[in-house]
Amino acid sequence: MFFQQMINGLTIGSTYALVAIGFSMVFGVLELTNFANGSFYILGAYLTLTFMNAMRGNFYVAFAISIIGTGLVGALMDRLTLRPMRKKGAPGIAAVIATIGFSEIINNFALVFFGTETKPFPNIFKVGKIRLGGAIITYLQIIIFVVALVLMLVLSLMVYKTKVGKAMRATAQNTSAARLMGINVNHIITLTFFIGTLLAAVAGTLVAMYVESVSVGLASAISMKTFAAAVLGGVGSLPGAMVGGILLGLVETIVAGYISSGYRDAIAFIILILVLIFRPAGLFGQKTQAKV
Amino acid sequence: MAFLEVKDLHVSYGAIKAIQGISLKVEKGEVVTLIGSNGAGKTTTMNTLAGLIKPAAGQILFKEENIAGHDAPDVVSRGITLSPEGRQVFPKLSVWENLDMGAYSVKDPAVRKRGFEQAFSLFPILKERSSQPAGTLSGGEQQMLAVARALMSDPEVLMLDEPSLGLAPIIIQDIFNLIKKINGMGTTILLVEQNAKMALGISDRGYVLETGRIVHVGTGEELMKSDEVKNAYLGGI
Ligand SMILES: Nc1ncnc2c1ncn2[C@@H]1O[C@H](COP(=O)(O)OP(=O)(O)O)[C@@H](O)[C@H]1O
Ligand SMILES: [Mg+2]
Repeated sequence: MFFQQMINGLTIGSTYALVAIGFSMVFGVLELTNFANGSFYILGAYLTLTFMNAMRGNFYVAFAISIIGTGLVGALMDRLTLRPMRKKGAPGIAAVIATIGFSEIINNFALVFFGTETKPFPNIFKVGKIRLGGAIITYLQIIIFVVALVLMLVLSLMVYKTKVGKAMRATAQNTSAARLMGINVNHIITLTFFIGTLLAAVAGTLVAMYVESVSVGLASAISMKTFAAAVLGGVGSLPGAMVGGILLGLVETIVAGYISSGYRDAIAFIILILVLIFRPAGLFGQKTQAKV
Repeated sequence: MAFLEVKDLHVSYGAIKAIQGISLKVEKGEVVTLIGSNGAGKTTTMNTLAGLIKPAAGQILFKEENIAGHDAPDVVSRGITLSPEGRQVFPKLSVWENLDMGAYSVKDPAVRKRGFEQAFSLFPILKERSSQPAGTLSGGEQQMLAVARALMSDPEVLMLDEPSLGLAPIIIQDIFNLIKKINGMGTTILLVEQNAKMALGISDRGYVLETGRIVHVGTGEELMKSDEVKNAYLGGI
Protein backbone atom coordinates (compact mmCIF):
# COMPACT_ATOMS: atom_id res chain seq x y z
CA MET A 1 0.00 0.00 0.00
CA PHE A 2 2.68 2.51 1.00
CA PHE A 3 4.88 1.46 -1.91
CA GLN A 4 1.92 1.89 -4.27
CA GLN A 5 1.31 5.38 -2.90
CA MET A 6 4.96 6.22 -3.43
CA ILE A 7 4.76 5.16 -7.05
CA ASN A 8 1.57 7.15 -7.64
CA GLY A 9 3.07 10.14 -5.84
CA LEU A 10 6.27 9.95 -7.85
CA THR A 11 4.26 9.90 -11.08
CA ILE A 12 2.20 12.96 -10.29
CA GLY A 13 5.17 14.65 -8.59
CA SER A 14 7.32 14.35 -11.68
CA THR A 15 4.66 16.23 -13.65
CA TYR A 16 4.55 18.97 -10.99
CA ALA A 17 8.31 19.14 -11.29
CA LEU A 18 8.08 19.81 -15.02
CA VAL A 19 5.70 22.73 -14.54
CA ALA A 20 7.74 24.01 -11.59
CA ILE A 21 10.92 24.01 -13.69
CA GLY A 22 9.21 26.22 -16.26
CA PHE A 23 7.96 28.47 -13.49
CA SER A 24 11.43 28.72 -11.96
CA MET A 25 13.15 29.46 -15.27
CA VAL A 26 10.82 32.38 -15.92
CA PHE A 27 11.19 33.55 -12.34
CA GLY A 28 14.97 33.34 -12.62
CA VAL A 29 15.12 35.51 -15.71
CA LEU A 30 12.42 38.07 -14.88
CA GLU A 31 11.68 37.71 -11.16
CA LEU A 32 8.13 37.26 -12.36
CA THR A 33 5.63 35.02 -10.58
CA ASN A 34 3.79 33.53 -13.54
CA PHE A 35 0.32 32.37 -12.55
CA ALA A 36 -0.65 31.31 -16.07
CA ASN A 37 1.06 27.90 -15.97
CA GLY A 38 -2.11 26.03 -15.00
CA SER A 39 -3.89 27.45 -18.03
CA PHE A 40 -1.04 26.45 -20.34
CA TYR A 41 -1.23 23.01 -18.74
CA ILE A 42 -4.90 22.48 -19.61
CA LEU A 43 -4.45 24.20 -22.98
CA GLY A 44 -1.74 21.65 -23.81
CA ALA A 45 -4.06 18.80 -22.90
CA TYR A 46 -7.00 20.23 -24.86
CA LEU A 47 -4.90 20.92 -27.93
CA THR A 48 -3.43 17.42 -27.92
CA LEU A 49 -6.93 15.99 -27.64
CA THR A 50 -8.25 18.22 -30.42
CA PHE A 51 -5.43 17.44 -32.85
CA MET A 52 -5.63 13.75 -31.98
CA ASN A 53 -9.30 13.71 -32.91
CA ALA A 54 -8.59 15.69 -36.06
CA MET A 55 -5.88 13.24 -37.10
CA ARG A 56 -7.72 10.05 -36.24
CA GLY A 57 -5.70 9.23 -33.21
CA ASN A 58 -2.12 10.05 -34.19
CA PHE A 59 -0.99 10.91 -30.68
CA TYR A 60 2.66 11.72 -31.35
CA VAL A 61 2.04 14.29 -34.07
CA ALA A 62 -0.86 15.81 -32.12
CA PHE A 63 1.32 16.01 -29.01
CA ALA A 64 4.18 17.69 -30.89
CA ILE A 65 1.88 20.29 -32.46
CA SER A 66 0.16 20.92 -29.15
CA ILE A 67 3.24 21.52 -27.03
CA ILE A 68 4.90 23.72 -29.64
CA GLY A 69 1.63 25.62 -30.17
CA THR A 70 1.14 26.13 -26.44
CA GLY A 71 4.79 27.18 -26.10
CA LEU A 72 4.16 29.84 -28.72
CA VAL A 73 1.09 31.07 -26.82
CA GLY A 74 3.33 31.51 -23.77
CA ALA A 75 5.94 33.40 -25.79
CA LEU A 76 3.11 35.51 -27.22
CA MET A 77 1.85 36.35 -23.73
CA ASP A 78 5.25 37.85 -23.04
CA ARG A 79 5.48 39.73 -26.33
CA LEU A 80 1.97 41.16 -26.18
CA THR A 81 1.56 41.99 -22.52
CA LEU A 82 4.71 41.67 -20.43
CA ARG A 83 7.34 43.16 -22.73
CA PRO A 84 5.45 46.43 -23.26
CA MET A 85 5.11 46.69 -19.47
CA ARG A 86 8.83 46.15 -18.94
CA LYS A 87 9.59 48.76 -21.57
CA LYS A 88 7.48 51.32 -19.73
CA GLY A 89 9.00 50.32 -16.39
CA ALA A 90 5.70 49.12 -14.92
CA PRO A 91 5.93 47.76 -11.35
CA GLY A 92 6.45 43.99 -11.01
CA ILE A 93 3.01 43.40 -9.55
CA ALA A 94 1.43 44.67 -12.79
CA ALA A 95 3.11 41.83 -14.69
CA VAL A 96 1.94 39.27 -12.13
CA ILE A 97 -1.62 40.49 -12.52
CA ALA A 98 -1.21 40.37 -16.30
CA THR A 99 -0.34 36.67 -16.07
CA ILE A 100 -3.46 36.09 -13.97
CA GLY A 101 -5.50 37.99 -16.55
CA PHE A 102 -3.97 36.05 -19.43
CA SER A 103 -4.68 32.85 -17.57
CA GLU A 104 -8.35 33.78 -17.16
CA ILE A 105 -8.57 34.60 -20.86
CA ILE A 106 -7.22 31.16 -21.80
CA ASN A 107 -9.57 29.45 -19.33
CA ASN A 108 -12.48 31.36 -20.74
CA PHE A 109 -11.57 30.48 -24.34
CA ALA A 110 -11.19 26.86 -23.30
CA LEU A 111 -14.67 26.88 -21.74
CA VAL A 112 -16.14 28.31 -24.94
CA PHE A 113 -14.25 26.13 -27.42
CA PHE A 114 -13.93 22.86 -25.54
CA GLY A 115 -17.02 23.00 -23.33
CA THR A 116 -17.69 23.28 -19.63
CA GLU A 117 -17.94 19.55 -18.94
CA THR A 118 -15.00 17.31 -18.08
CA LYS A 119 -13.70 15.75 -21.32
CA PRO A 120 -12.59 12.13 -21.49
CA PHE A 121 -8.97 11.74 -22.57
CA PRO A 122 -7.84 8.43 -24.08
CA ASN A 123 -4.95 6.53 -22.49
CA ILE A 124 -3.10 5.13 -25.47
CA PHE A 125 -0.55 3.32 -23.28
CA LYS A 126 -3.06 1.09 -21.53
CA VAL A 127 -1.24 -1.95 -22.85
CA GLY A 128 0.41 -3.22 -19.75
CA LYS A 129 1.63 -3.08 -16.20
CA ILE A 130 4.34 -4.48 -14.00
CA ARG A 131 3.82 -6.02 -10.56
CA LEU A 132 6.52 -5.13 -8.10
CA GLY A 133 6.20 -6.16 -4.47
CA GLY A 134 2.54 -5.61 -3.77
CA ALA A 135 2.33 -2.64 -6.08
CA ILE A 136 1.28 -2.19 -9.68
CA ILE A 137 3.22 0.08 -11.98
CA THR A 138 1.49 0.86 -15.26
CA TYR A 139 3.39 1.47 -18.46
CA LEU A 140 1.95 4.96 -18.55
CA GLN A 141 3.42 5.68 -15.12
CA ILE A 142 6.80 4.55 -16.34
CA ILE A 143 6.45 6.66 -19.48
CA ILE A 144 5.48 9.75 -17.48
CA PHE A 145 8.38 9.30 -15.11
CA VAL A 146 10.89 8.68 -17.88
CA VAL A 147 9.66 11.58 -20.02
CA ALA A 148 9.87 13.92 -17.03
CA LEU A 149 13.33 12.66 -16.12
CA VAL A 150 14.64 12.98 -19.67
CA LEU A 151 13.24 16.51 -19.99
CA MET A 152 14.83 17.51 -16.68
CA LEU A 153 18.15 16.13 -17.86
CA VAL A 154 17.95 17.84 -21.25
CA LEU A 155 17.00 21.14 -19.63
CA SER A 156 19.76 20.95 -17.06
CA LEU A 157 22.28 20.27 -19.81
CA MET A 158 20.88 23.16 -21.79
CA VAL A 159 20.89 25.63 -18.91
CA TYR A 160 24.28 24.68 -17.49
CA LYS A 161 26.27 23.61 -20.54
CA THR A 162 25.14 25.42 -23.68
CA LYS A 163 25.87 28.96 -24.77
CA VAL A 164 22.20 29.92 -24.79
CA GLY A 165 21.77 28.41 -21.32
CA LYS A 166 24.68 30.45 -19.98
CA ALA A 167 23.12 33.53 -21.58
CA MET A 168 19.88 32.69 -19.73
CA ARG A 169 21.70 32.47 -16.41
CA ALA A 170 23.66 35.65 -17.14
CA THR A 171 20.42 37.46 -17.95
CA ALA A 172 18.89 36.17 -14.74
CA GLN A 173 21.81 37.38 -12.66
CA ASN A 174 22.31 40.82 -14.20
CA THR A 175 20.22 41.95 -17.14
CA SER A 176 22.11 45.11 -18.01
CA ALA A 177 25.49 43.37 -17.80
CA ALA A 178 24.05 40.65 -20.06
CA ARG A 179 23.16 43.33 -22.60
CA LEU A 180 26.71 44.67 -22.38
CA MET A 181 27.95 41.21 -23.38
CA GLY A 182 25.92 41.45 -26.59
CA ILE A 183 23.15 39.15 -25.37
CA ASN A 184 19.79 39.98 -26.89
CA VAL A 185 17.86 39.84 -23.65
CA ASN A 186 14.45 39.94 -25.32
CA HIS A 187 15.22 36.80 -27.33
CA ILE A 188 16.37 35.04 -24.19
CA ILE A 189 13.16 36.00 -22.39
CA THR A 190 10.96 34.84 -25.26
CA LEU A 191 12.82 31.54 -25.39
CA THR A 192 12.45 31.10 -21.64
CA PHE A 193 8.69 31.61 -21.86
CA PHE A 194 8.49 29.21 -24.79
CA ILE A 195 10.30 26.46 -22.90
CA GLY A 196 8.45 27.07 -19.63
CA THR A 197 5.08 26.98 -21.34
CA LEU A 198 5.98 23.94 -23.40
CA LEU A 199 6.84 22.07 -20.20
CA ALA A 200 3.42 22.92 -18.75
CA ALA A 201 1.77 21.59 -21.92
CA VAL A 202 3.76 18.34 -21.71
CA ALA A 203 2.75 17.87 -18.08
CA GLY A 204 -0.89 18.73 -18.83
CA THR A 205 -1.12 16.18 -21.61
CA LEU A 206 0.59 13.43 -19.61
CA VAL A 207 -1.65 13.97 -16.60
CA ALA A 208 -4.80 14.16 -18.72
CA MET A 209 -3.90 10.75 -20.09
CA TYR A 210 -3.07 9.48 -16.61
CA VAL A 211 -6.40 10.51 -15.11
CA GLU A 212 -8.14 9.95 -18.47
CA SER A 213 -9.83 13.35 -18.44
CA VAL A 214 -9.28 17.07 -18.67
CA SER A 215 -11.27 20.07 -17.43
CA VAL A 216 -10.76 23.82 -17.16
CA GLY A 217 -11.33 23.63 -13.42
CA LEU A 218 -7.84 22.15 -12.93
CA ALA A 219 -6.04 25.25 -14.10
CA SER A 220 -5.92 27.43 -11.03
CA ALA A 221 -5.08 24.58 -8.65
CA ILE A 222 -2.15 23.61 -10.90
CA SER A 223 -0.87 27.20 -11.02
CA MET A 224 -0.93 27.41 -7.25
CA LYS A 225 0.61 23.98 -6.72
CA THR A 226 3.42 24.78 -9.11
CA PHE A 227 4.09 27.93 -7.16
CA ALA A 228 4.10 25.91 -3.94
CA ALA A 229 6.46 23.30 -5.42
CA ALA A 230 8.88 25.97 -6.63
CA VAL A 231 8.85 27.78 -3.27
CA LEU A 232 9.38 24.48 -1.48
CA GLY A 233 12.47 23.76 -3.57
CA GLY A 234 13.73 27.34 -3.58
CA VAL A 235 12.40 29.73 -6.20
CA GLY A 236 14.66 30.14 -9.20
CA SER A 237 16.62 26.94 -8.56
CA LEU A 238 16.20 24.18 -11.15
CA PRO A 239 17.18 21.29 -8.88
CA GLY A 240 14.90 22.90 -6.28
CA ALA A 241 11.96 22.89 -8.70
CA MET A 242 12.53 19.22 -9.50
CA VAL A 243 12.79 18.12 -5.90
CA GLY A 244 9.98 20.46 -4.80
CA GLY A 245 7.62 19.08 -7.44
CA ILE A 246 8.36 15.45 -6.65
CA LEU A 247 8.11 16.00 -2.89
CA LEU A 248 4.78 17.75 -3.30
CA GLY A 249 3.42 14.88 -5.40
CA LEU A 250 4.60 12.33 -2.84
CA VAL A 251 3.25 14.12 0.23
CA GLU A 252 -0.03 14.92 -1.45
CA THR A 253 -0.62 11.33 -2.53
CA ILE A 254 0.38 9.86 0.81
CA VAL A 255 -1.86 12.27 2.71
CA ALA A 256 -4.73 11.54 0.35
CA GLY A 257 -4.15 7.81 0.81
CA TYR A 258 -3.71 7.69 4.59
CA ILE A 259 -5.70 10.61 5.90
CA SER A 260 -8.36 11.63 3.44
CA SER A 261 -8.40 12.49 -0.24
CA GLY A 262 -10.40 15.55 0.75
CA TYR A 263 -7.17 17.21 1.96
CA ARG A 264 -5.27 16.55 -1.27
CA ASP A 265 -5.36 20.11 -2.58
CA ALA A 266 -4.95 21.78 0.81
CA ILE A 267 -1.66 19.97 1.39
CA ALA A 268 0.24 22.06 -1.13
CA PHE A 269 -0.69 25.21 0.70
CA ILE A 270 -0.05 23.88 4.16
CA ILE A 271 3.44 22.99 2.93
CA LEU A 272 3.82 26.36 1.26
CA ILE A 273 2.97 28.23 4.44
CA LEU A 274 5.23 26.04 6.59
CA VAL A 275 8.14 26.53 4.21
CA LEU A 276 7.64 30.27 4.13
CA ILE A 277 7.66 30.36 7.93
CA PHE A 278 10.56 28.03 8.66
CA ARG A 279 12.75 28.13 5.58
CA PRO A 280 11.80 31.07 3.39
CA ALA A 281 14.61 30.40 0.92
CA GLY A 282 13.30 26.88 0.25
CA LEU A 283 15.22 23.61 0.36
CA PHE A 284 17.72 24.54 -2.36
CA GLY A 285 17.49 28.32 -2.21
CA GLN A 286 20.52 30.31 -1.18
CA LYS A 287 20.42 33.50 0.75
CA THR A 288 21.15 36.19 -1.79
CA GLN A 289 24.80 37.13 -1.89
CA ALA A 290 25.34 40.67 -0.72
CA LYS A 291 28.85 40.94 -2.11
CA VAL A 292 29.13 43.05 -5.24
CA MET B 1 36.46 63.19 -38.40
CA ALA B 2 37.36 61.64 -35.09
CA PHE B 3 37.31 57.88 -34.43
CA LEU B 4 34.59 58.27 -31.81
CA GLU B 5 32.77 61.56 -31.55
CA VAL B 6 29.89 62.65 -29.33
CA LYS B 7 27.95 65.68 -30.55
CA ASP B 8 25.57 67.69 -28.40
CA LEU B 9 24.34 64.67 -26.43
CA HIS B 10 21.33 65.03 -24.13
CA VAL B 11 20.18 62.29 -21.76
CA SER B 12 17.27 62.41 -19.32
CA TYR B 13 15.81 60.18 -16.64
CA GLY B 14 12.19 61.26 -16.80
CA ALA B 15 12.26 64.91 -15.78
CA ILE B 16 15.91 64.80 -14.62
CA LYS B 17 18.21 66.17 -17.32
CA ALA B 18 21.39 64.26 -16.45
CA ILE B 19 23.38 65.18 -19.58
CA GLN B 20 22.79 68.55 -21.15
CA GLY B 21 24.51 68.81 -24.48
CA ILE B 22 28.00 67.38 -24.17
CA SER B 23 30.43 66.95 -27.06
CA LEU B 24 33.70 65.04 -26.98
CA LYS B 25 36.15 63.28 -29.25
CA VAL B 26 38.32 60.21 -28.93
CA GLU B 27 40.99 59.52 -31.53
CA LYS B 28 42.15 56.02 -32.42
CA GLY B 29 44.76 54.76 -29.98
CA GLU B 30 44.17 57.46 -27.37
CA VAL B 31 43.42 57.22 -23.67
CA VAL B 32 40.75 59.81 -22.90
CA THR B 33 39.51 60.43 -19.38
CA LEU B 34 36.25 61.86 -18.15
CA ILE B 35 36.52 63.25 -14.64
CA GLY B 36 33.93 64.91 -12.48
CA SER B 37 32.44 64.69 -9.02
CA ASN B 38 29.69 62.34 -7.93
CA GLY B 39 26.47 62.80 -9.88
CA ALA B 40 28.12 64.81 -12.67
CA GLY B 41 26.81 62.39 -15.29
CA LYS B 42 29.88 60.26 -16.07
CA THR B 43 28.12 56.90 -15.73
CA THR B 44 25.13 58.19 -17.67
CA THR B 45 27.47 59.19 -20.51
CA MET B 46 29.18 55.79 -20.56
CA ASN B 47 25.91 53.85 -20.38
CA THR B 48 24.49 55.90 -23.22
CA LEU B 49 27.57 55.28 -25.38
CA ALA B 50 27.26 51.56 -24.60
CA GLY B 51 23.61 51.47 -25.69
CA LEU B 52 22.09 50.79 -22.27
CA ILE B 53 20.24 54.12 -22.26
CA LYS B 54 18.70 55.92 -25.22
CA PRO B 55 19.69 59.59 -25.53
CA ALA B 56 17.04 62.29 -25.79
CA ALA B 57 19.02 64.07 -28.50
CA GLY B 58 22.45 64.26 -30.09
CA GLN B 59 24.78 62.05 -32.08
CA ILE B 60 27.31 59.36 -31.25
CA LEU B 61 29.51 58.90 -34.30
CA PHE B 62 31.72 55.83 -34.40
CA LYS B 63 33.78 55.43 -37.55
CA GLU B 64 31.50 58.00 -39.17
CA GLU B 65 28.27 56.17 -38.40
CA ASN B 66 25.70 57.53 -35.98
CA ILE B 67 25.06 54.84 -33.39
CA ALA B 68 23.09 56.97 -30.94
CA GLY B 69 20.11 54.98 -29.65
CA HIS B 70 21.42 51.64 -30.96
CA ASP B 71 20.90 48.76 -28.56
CA ALA B 72 23.83 47.45 -26.50
CA PRO B 73 24.34 44.21 -28.49
CA ASP B 74 24.70 46.24 -31.68
CA VAL B 75 27.23 48.56 -30.07
CA VAL B 76 29.25 45.55 -28.87
CA SER B 77 29.26 44.00 -32.31
CA ARG B 78 30.61 47.27 -33.72
CA GLY B 79 33.60 47.10 -31.38
CA ILE B 80 32.79 49.23 -28.33
CA THR B 81 32.56 47.55 -24.94
CA LEU B 82 32.00 48.81 -21.41
CA SER B 83 33.32 47.55 -18.12
CA PRO B 84 30.51 49.05 -16.04
CA GLU B 85 30.62 50.92 -12.75
CA GLY B 86 30.51 48.52 -9.81
CA ARG B 87 31.99 45.64 -11.89
CA GLN B 88 28.71 43.79 -12.40
CA VAL B 89 30.23 40.37 -12.89
CA PHE B 90 27.77 37.47 -13.01
CA PRO B 91 28.17 36.27 -9.41
CA LYS B 92 26.97 32.68 -9.85
CA LEU B 93 28.78 32.04 -13.12
CA SER B 94 32.35 30.84 -12.88
CA VAL B 95 35.21 33.12 -13.86
CA TRP B 96 35.58 31.11 -17.05
CA GLU B 97 31.88 31.43 -17.83
CA ASN B 98 32.00 35.18 -17.21
CA LEU B 99 34.81 35.48 -19.74
CA ASP B 100 32.87 33.22 -22.10
CA MET B 101 29.91 35.63 -21.86
CA GLY B 102 32.30 38.45 -22.71
CA ALA B 103 32.94 36.64 -25.98
CA TYR B 104 29.22 36.06 -26.58
CA SER B 105 29.19 38.14 -29.77
CA VAL B 106 32.33 36.50 -31.16
CA LYS B 107 31.61 34.03 -33.96
CA ASP B 108 35.17 33.02 -34.85
CA PRO B 109 36.49 30.32 -32.46
CA ALA B 110 40.07 31.47 -33.10
CA VAL B 111 39.24 34.96 -31.80
CA ARG B 112 37.59 33.36 -28.79
CA LYS B 113 40.63 31.25 -28.06
CA ARG B 114 42.94 34.25 -28.40
CA GLY B 115 40.63 36.16 -26.05
CA PHE B 116 41.05 33.57 -23.31
CA GLU B 117 44.81 33.42 -23.82
CA GLN B 118 45.08 37.19 -23.63
CA ALA B 119 42.83 37.38 -20.55
CA PHE B 120 44.86 34.76 -18.71
CA SER B 121 48.19 36.33 -19.65
CA LEU B 122 47.11 39.85 -18.61
CA PHE B 123 45.38 38.59 -15.46
CA PRO B 124 47.09 35.36 -14.33
CA ILE B 125 44.98 35.30 -11.16
CA LEU B 126 41.88 34.71 -13.29
CA LYS B 127 43.38 31.50 -14.63
CA GLU B 128 43.93 30.24 -11.10
CA ARG B 129 40.37 31.13 -10.21
CA SER B 130 38.78 30.10 -13.49
CA SER B 131 36.36 27.51 -12.09
CA GLN B 132 35.37 29.60 -9.05
CA PRO B 133 32.04 31.49 -9.00
CA ALA B 134 32.79 35.15 -9.71
CA GLY B 135 30.84 36.20 -6.60
CA THR B 136 33.52 34.61 -4.41
CA LEU B 137 36.38 36.74 -5.82
CA SER B 138 37.83 39.70 -3.94
CA GLY B 139 36.89 43.20 -5.09
CA GLY B 140 40.15 43.67 -6.97
CA GLU B 141 39.84 40.29 -8.66
CA GLN B 142 36.26 41.07 -9.66
CA GLN B 143 37.45 44.33 -11.19
CA MET B 144 40.09 42.48 -13.18
CA LEU B 145 37.46 40.03 -14.31
CA ALA B 146 35.19 42.87 -15.41
CA VAL B 147 38.00 44.40 -17.48
CA ALA B 148 39.04 41.04 -18.90
CA ARG B 149 35.44 40.23 -19.75
CA ALA B 150 35.05 43.52 -21.63
CA LEU B 151 38.20 42.68 -23.62
CA MET B 152 36.98 39.23 -24.69
CA SER B 153 35.21 40.49 -27.80
CA ASP B 154 38.46 42.14 -28.94
CA PRO B 155 36.97 45.67 -28.95
CA GLU B 156 38.39 48.69 -30.73
CA VAL B 157 37.21 50.96 -27.93
CA LEU B 158 37.25 49.85 -24.30
CA MET B 159 35.26 52.00 -21.88
CA LEU B 160 36.02 51.69 -18.17
CA ASP B 161 33.71 53.23 -15.59
CA GLU B 162 35.58 53.82 -12.32
CA PRO B 163 37.81 50.76 -12.39
CA SER B 164 39.52 51.85 -9.17
CA LEU B 165 36.33 52.28 -7.13
CA GLY B 166 36.65 50.75 -3.68
CA LEU B 167 40.06 49.16 -4.26
CA ALA B 168 43.20 49.31 -2.14
CA PRO B 169 45.89 51.76 -3.43
CA ILE B 170 48.32 48.99 -4.36
CA ILE B 171 45.66 47.28 -6.47
CA ILE B 172 44.67 50.60 -8.05
CA GLN B 173 48.25 50.93 -9.25
CA ASP B 174 48.01 47.46 -10.81
CA ILE B 175 44.79 48.39 -12.57
CA PHE B 176 46.30 51.57 -14.03
CA ASN B 177 49.37 49.68 -15.20
CA LEU B 178 47.10 47.21 -16.94
CA ILE B 179 45.12 49.98 -18.61
CA LYS B 180 48.37 51.39 -20.00
CA LYS B 181 49.36 47.93 -21.18
CA ILE B 182 46.01 47.33 -22.89
CA ASN B 183 46.27 50.71 -24.60
CA GLY B 184 49.80 49.83 -25.68
CA MET B 185 48.37 46.77 -27.43
CA GLY B 186 46.31 49.06 -29.64
CA THR B 187 42.97 49.41 -27.85
CA THR B 188 41.49 52.89 -27.63
CA ILE B 189 40.39 53.70 -24.09
CA LEU B 190 37.71 55.95 -22.66
CA LEU B 191 38.11 56.09 -18.91
CA VAL B 192 35.89 57.48 -16.16
CA GLU B 193 37.63 58.11 -12.86
CA GLN B 194 37.24 59.88 -9.54
CA ASN B 195 40.90 59.19 -9.03
CA ALA B 196 41.65 62.15 -11.28
CA LYS B 197 45.37 62.46 -10.72
CA MET B 198 46.25 58.91 -11.69
CA ALA B 199 43.78 58.90 -14.55
CA LEU B 200 45.06 62.15 -16.06
CA GLY B 201 48.59 60.82 -15.60
CA ILE B 202 48.01 58.05 -18.14
CA SER B 203 45.66 60.05 -20.42
CA ASP B 204 46.32 61.79 -23.70
CA ARG B 205 43.39 64.08 -23.11
CA GLY B 206 40.70 64.71 -20.54
CA TYR B 207 37.28 66.26 -20.14
CA VAL B 208 35.85 67.63 -16.93
CA LEU B 209 32.14 67.10 -16.46
CA GLU B 210 30.01 69.15 -14.09
CA THR B 211 26.26 68.63 -13.65
CA GLY B 212 25.78 67.29 -17.15
CA ARG B 213 28.02 69.79 -18.96
CA ILE B 214 31.66 69.77 -20.02
CA VAL B 215 33.48 72.60 -18.27
CA HIS B 216 37.14 71.92 -19.13
CA VAL B 217 38.97 70.19 -21.94
CA GLY B 218 42.67 69.66 -22.34
CA THR B 219 45.59 67.27 -22.50
CA GLY B 220 46.21 65.29 -19.35
CA GLU B 221 49.08 67.58 -18.43
CA GLU B 222 47.16 70.79 -19.06
CA LEU B 223 44.32 69.69 -16.84
CA MET B 224 46.64 68.60 -14.06
CA LYS B 225 48.24 72.06 -14.11
CA SER B 226 44.97 74.00 -14.24
CA ASP B 227 44.20 75.62 -10.90
CA GLU B 228 40.47 75.07 -11.11
CA VAL B 229 40.88 71.37 -11.83
CA LYS B 230 43.51 71.05 -9.12
CA ASN B 231 41.29 72.62 -6.52
CA ALA B 232 38.15 70.79 -7.47
CA TYR B 233 39.39 67.31 -8.33
CA LEU B 234 42.99 66.86 -7.31
CA GLY B 235 42.57 67.79 -3.68
CA GLY B 236 44.41 71.11 -4.15
CA ILE B 237 47.90 69.70 -4.77
N1 LIG C 1 18.50 55.53 -12.99
C1 LIG C 1 18.42 56.84 -12.68
N2 LIG C 1 17.23 57.44 -12.48
C2 LIG C 1 17.16 58.76 -12.20
N3 LIG C 1 18.22 59.55 -12.05
C3 LIG C 1 19.43 59.02 -12.23
C4 LIG C 1 19.60 57.64 -12.55
N4 LIG C 1 20.92 57.38 -12.68
C5 LIG C 1 21.53 58.56 -12.45
N5 LIG C 1 20.65 59.53 -12.18
C6 LIG C 1 20.95 60.94 -11.90
O1 LIG C 1 21.68 61.46 -13.00
C7 LIG C 1 22.76 62.27 -12.56
C8 LIG C 1 24.07 61.71 -13.09
O2 LIG C 1 24.35 60.45 -12.47
P1 LIG C 1 25.57 59.54 -12.89
O3 LIG C 1 25.64 59.51 -14.37
O4 LIG C 1 25.45 58.26 -12.18
O5 LIG C 1 26.78 60.41 -12.31
P2 LIG C 1 28.28 59.99 -12.01
O6 LIG C 1 28.58 58.68 -12.67
O7 LIG C 1 29.08 61.11 -12.59
O8 LIG C 1 28.44 59.93 -10.53
C9 LIG C 1 22.67 62.29 -11.04
O9 LIG C 1 21.99 63.44 -10.67
C10 LIG C 1 21.87 61.07 -10.70
O10 LIG C 1 21.15 61.27 -9.52
MG1 LIG D 1 29.27 56.94 -11.86
